[in-house]
Amino acid sequence: MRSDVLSKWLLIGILAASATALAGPLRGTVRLPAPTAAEPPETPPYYWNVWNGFVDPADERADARRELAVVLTGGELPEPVGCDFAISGGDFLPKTMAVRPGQSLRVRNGDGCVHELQSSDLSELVPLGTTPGNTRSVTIPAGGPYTITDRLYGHVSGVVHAVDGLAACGRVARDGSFVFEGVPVGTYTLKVLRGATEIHSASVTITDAETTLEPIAAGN
Amino acid sequence: MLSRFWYFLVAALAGAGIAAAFMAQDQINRTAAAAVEEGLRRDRAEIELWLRYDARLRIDDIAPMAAHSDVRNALKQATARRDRSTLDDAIRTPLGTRLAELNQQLREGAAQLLFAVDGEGEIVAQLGGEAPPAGAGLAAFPLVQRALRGYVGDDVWVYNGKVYRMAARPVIDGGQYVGAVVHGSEVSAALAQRLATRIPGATLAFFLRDSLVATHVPAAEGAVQQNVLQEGLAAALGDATVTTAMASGPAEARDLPSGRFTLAFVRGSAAHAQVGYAIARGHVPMASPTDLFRSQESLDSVPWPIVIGAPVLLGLLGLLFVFLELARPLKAFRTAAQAIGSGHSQRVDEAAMRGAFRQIAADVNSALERAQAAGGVKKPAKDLDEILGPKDSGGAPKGGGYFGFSQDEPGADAIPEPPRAAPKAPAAPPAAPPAAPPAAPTAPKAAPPPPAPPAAPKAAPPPPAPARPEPMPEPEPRSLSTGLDDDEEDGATMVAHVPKELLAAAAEANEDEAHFKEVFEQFLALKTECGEPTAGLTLDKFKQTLRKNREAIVSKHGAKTVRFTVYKKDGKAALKATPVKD
Repeated sequence: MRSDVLSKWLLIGILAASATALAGPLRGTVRLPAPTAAEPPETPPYYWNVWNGFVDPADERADARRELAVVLTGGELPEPVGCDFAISGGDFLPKTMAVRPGQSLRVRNGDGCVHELQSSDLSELVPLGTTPGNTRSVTIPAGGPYTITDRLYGHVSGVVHAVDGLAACGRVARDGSFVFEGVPVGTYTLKVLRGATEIHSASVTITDAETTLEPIAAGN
Repeated sequence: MLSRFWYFLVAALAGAGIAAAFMAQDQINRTAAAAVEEGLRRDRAEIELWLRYDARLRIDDIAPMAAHSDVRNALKQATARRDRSTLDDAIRTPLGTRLAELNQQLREGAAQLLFAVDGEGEIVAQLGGEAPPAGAGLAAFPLVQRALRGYVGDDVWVYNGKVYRMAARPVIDGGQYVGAVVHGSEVSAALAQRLATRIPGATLAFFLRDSLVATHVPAAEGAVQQNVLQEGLAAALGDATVTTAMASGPAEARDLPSGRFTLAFVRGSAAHAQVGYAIARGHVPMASPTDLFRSQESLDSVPWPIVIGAPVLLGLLGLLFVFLELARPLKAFRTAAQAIGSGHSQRVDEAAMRGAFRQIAADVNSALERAQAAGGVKKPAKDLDEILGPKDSGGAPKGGGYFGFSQDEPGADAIPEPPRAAPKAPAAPPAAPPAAPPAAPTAPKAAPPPPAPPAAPKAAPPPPAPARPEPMPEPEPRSLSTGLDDDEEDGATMVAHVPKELLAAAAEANEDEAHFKEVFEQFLALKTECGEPTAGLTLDKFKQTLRKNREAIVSKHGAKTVRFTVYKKDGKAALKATPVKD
């Protein structure tokens, strides 16, 4: 706890000292295709799934906030910026995660129920209960990506990438727009990850001014 | 033949009965197992039907909640937050209060866990369970996802260690989906008990992995107990093949020490956490055909008159066959044999015989015919019974024996008793003494007569030939020729010279004959005196017997001769033999 506080003050000091080096935000958008209706399972996991009969069903929407990870690699930052992961709303948020090889993946349980994260890829991650508000940590070795699931909830599934030189994680909105803030000026590689797949990679330069990238089309 | 066949028939029936008993045991076990399995299948169908029906009831029950204006307004306001700022308690609190009121109106269907979520799936109000962290939501839960898109549905969740049957319904306001109401009913023992009324006699349990979270054991005899079911469940879920198969349907019925059970995962997302239910029914297979007799109901169902009567009838029938085929023919054969033995018949009547006895009779008749062809059937030698009088019932001569000899009497020797079934003596009389040589056909009358040969007994003693009387020695030819010479010379009849040995033997024979006659007369007199029957007791027979005994004693003791004396023993006439050595 004490080391966390010290780390924060140290980071604030570094940022203050290099305030002039911080650039404007980097913005962009990843356009996800509309999700296709999945074939209903032969034995659906419910007895009833019936339209309410009053208002037409809403279309299924792609939730880029939950699906994508938009990251920058390169630079000289001692720690990645903006890489916070949680379980929220009953699933990983985002479901695609990235950490530097050898570093810990920290997942906070923001739900009101216990989750038991597990991974057949990561022997360290055995299914132990993580109560609401607590964080589960696991060291991610090089390689991957690694799939993490929940022993209690079948719909909970996330993929974590061990990304060399990870500098920052962008904040992604539901509509696919993202923004990097607080990243020093410099040239980086922008990667868009979706699940176990890297769907986009490009070099970007962050300058003092706000930079907006061309929309990125993510295939299916 | 029929009786023999009957034995095989009875043996075959017994074997068939034993085989039938084992087959019946196997059939009963398989039928009972199939019946139990079928019962379990129907139980599972009944449970599935009830769960489906109950899910629909809960979906319908929460319709008033979803349609309530306070709920709609609160969720509309919550959904309208564009910046997803922290919800104001001014929205949360009244909504929570209203939900509690509406939930109480559901009575038995009241939720133990109730959520109201906004259009983004964030929890606006919650009843039951632990208070969620700020900003907590349920948007990623499939049930909530579907509800927020406009569908009513159901699911099963594991939520903080408890299992809930969930139902969700969208909340619509102004033609827009503004949230959803999510209703959770805990899986408890009360639920298990209520469900068990649909499957009487069965044990029902809901499980989370290998832990039973709700169980109902019926009070019926033979019901599977909770610990038994839990052990079986743990074993089944420990088998990866079982859990893999259960992902697509119920597992096959499995054995328990006291029954069988089936298990299936619930239909819902909690199946991922291995939440399911197990239904068990008692069934103990028969270990042996004798187990059939344990059930009083089974015993009562047996038609005992038939079960007892049929074997008795079969047994009597078998005895009848034995009598007809064996006992009766044997009796007839025995009668025929006795007739032959007593002389009333010369052959067995084959026509009167049946079956194998007819062949036996034919064989006997053939044997008799061969014997007759070879000289006739020899009459058996008369034994002392016939000579000395009737026997008593024990087979011994009345009076304790033919002779009253006692082995311990000094100087006395027991006369061996002639065998009861003495070999039949040849009918031919004993060899007569050789006739006088033809050269002496005219023996002088004054000359001592040669010893008369003994009367030919009807039953001559067996060989060797009796020592006495000795056949008359053949006259010396030389002496005869001398006598002839004299005759030719004188023209008168001459008496040949008789050897001294011959004369001595003749004298001795005469002495024995006289002794035998004397003994006979004494014996006859004593028997008469004792009141014993004397019919059939003749001198010839008596002497013959005495001769035999004399020869036996002479041979045994090396005596010169034997002297018999008559005496009275136990009121009966008896004889005593005394060897004479000098």
